[in-house]
Amino acid sequence: MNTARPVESRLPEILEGISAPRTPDYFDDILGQVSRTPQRPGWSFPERWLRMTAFSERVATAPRIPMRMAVVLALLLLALAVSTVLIAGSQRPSVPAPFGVAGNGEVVFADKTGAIVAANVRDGTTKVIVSGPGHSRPVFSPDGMRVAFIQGPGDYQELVVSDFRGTDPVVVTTVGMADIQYLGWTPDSRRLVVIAGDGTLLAYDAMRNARATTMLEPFVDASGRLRNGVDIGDGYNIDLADLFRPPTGNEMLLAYDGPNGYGLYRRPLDGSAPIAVFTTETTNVPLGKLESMSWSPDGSRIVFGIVPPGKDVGGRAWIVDADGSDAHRLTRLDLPSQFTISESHMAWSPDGTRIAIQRWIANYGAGDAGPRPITIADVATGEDHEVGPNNFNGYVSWNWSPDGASILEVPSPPSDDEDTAIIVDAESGNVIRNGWHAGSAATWQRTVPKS
Amino acid sequence: MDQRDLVRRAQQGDQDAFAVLAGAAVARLDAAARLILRDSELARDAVQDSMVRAWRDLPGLRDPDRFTPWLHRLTVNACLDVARRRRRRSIEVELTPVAMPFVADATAEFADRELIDDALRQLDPEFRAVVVLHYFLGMPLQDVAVSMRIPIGTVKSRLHRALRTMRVTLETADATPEAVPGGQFA
Repeated sequence: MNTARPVESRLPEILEGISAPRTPDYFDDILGQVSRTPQRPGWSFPERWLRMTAFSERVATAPRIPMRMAVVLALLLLALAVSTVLIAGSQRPSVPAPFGVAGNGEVVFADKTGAIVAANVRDGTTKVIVSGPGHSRPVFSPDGMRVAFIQGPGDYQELVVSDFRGTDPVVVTTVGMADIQYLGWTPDSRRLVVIAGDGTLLAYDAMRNARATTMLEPFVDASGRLRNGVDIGDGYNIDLADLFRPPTGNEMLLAYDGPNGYGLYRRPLDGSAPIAVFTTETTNVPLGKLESMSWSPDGSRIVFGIVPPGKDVGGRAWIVDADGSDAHRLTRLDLPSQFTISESHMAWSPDGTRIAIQRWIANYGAGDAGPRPITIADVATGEDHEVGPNNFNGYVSWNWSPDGASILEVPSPPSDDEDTAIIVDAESGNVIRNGWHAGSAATWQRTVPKS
Repeated sequence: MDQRDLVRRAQQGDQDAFAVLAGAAVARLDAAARLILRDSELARDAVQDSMVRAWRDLPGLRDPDRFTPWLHRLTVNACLDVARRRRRRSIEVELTPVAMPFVADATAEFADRELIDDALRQLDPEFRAVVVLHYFLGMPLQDVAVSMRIPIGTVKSRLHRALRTMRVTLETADATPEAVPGGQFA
């Protein structure tokens, strides 16, 4: 065997040899078909005469309301708010707040048969709540009352919402979608947000079957850089709820090439102009690509990844206040130049004191891509420690338990724990293996904390 | 006449200009499709489909300099469509061996080539497509992500997994067992 060079450096010539490129004998057939095929006129492509972002960046306008009616409405709303506060104060809330520490409910995942399964964390038992086949990637709503999941194959996927017991399922998409990338809930648990196969961010009413609202059209420039959009990084179940600012969810994060340069912006959902947070005008840090942006649970800070210009790897986690102040790298780790440190999928602990990271430390010269166990960084000090097993190919999904004590992981194959959901203690790294065979991402239900 | 001019002429309906562009690209596209689909007939279908689609939609291409990556994208997507249809219909397609190399090889290199060929067969078409786009067609990872409409991280993880399969295949064939590289660091 030729071991002088790593396989990736020899692959181009090996593939050249395997495929032996030559003009195929059917080339004339192709030209014949082309001669019989009319071209579509240029004006029939909408983006040639109208940027698609025009649809998504339209400023929302509200109909004019007479002043007297507005006063009456305001008084009614005030009365309603007061009565709501009084009622809420006299009763124990039935659902947890959408952010912060909550109680641990059930773990839900799709198994390899395509059934949605609920697992009891206390005794490890499981029960099928939606029978297979064909279901995948369940995500609990922030209030823990409902579960959204995907139904159907990759080229025709529907979004379904059921209650947390799997009953009363509603297909909320009106047409099948191809290759749904990410999904999540808005903080009020009323809408589902999805990044479609082409990068468009869509919102669906979680209560009924209705057409989607386009929230963002991606725009990628000629160099391949995303100039307007959301880059989550890899993984299947990164919760898009992290894009929406707590506690109201009235702003979302995006990478944007705006009036203050390229960088991280807050975009108010009322349609007003994006607000610059960390851009080429405010920093000398080279901004190649921004990814994995996420609000802290209290909505005061943002963690995000910066990948150096011209690179696909080597992104580091940064943290910044919502007003753009106190920007700094989250972790202190530095290594000699032959190593490339990549940090992605930053996730805030529910109490906002720690951030969990998927980190890779690669030595490409030695052919080592270098995945690491989940790394937990202290937000105040930047100190970090690793917990749980080191999986060869990272994770299909991972997220914090609602109480912030542990992390739910589904390792990617190949791994000793591949295709199982495991629970890792966030301090000790102790692993609980219940034999939950998860075919895709797992999600943890938020419940009202026990007092 | 450079490629930009040819693209502009083809956009205006010049079939001769398109024939020049297609002729320059078809050998590599056919090879890429055979690598992804591992079947010459399916590769033919995919390349024909992508070429006809390229001709039809060419007036909509805004930047003539992006013609080549655009054509690569059309071909790879056509390959994945063919692969999906084949899976849905559950048709067993005989995997025909790909062409042998033109030139003589050193024994070790030839052995590696066969092993990599075997390793490629073990991968799903989506994984093979990432390998082919990046290592055979020379597309940057960001472009692979845009072409396949998947996140860059997914591209990386697919590439990582594919390379690992190849390394393991090569190492398994080696007389002296080695530790599996790539997975462990400390």
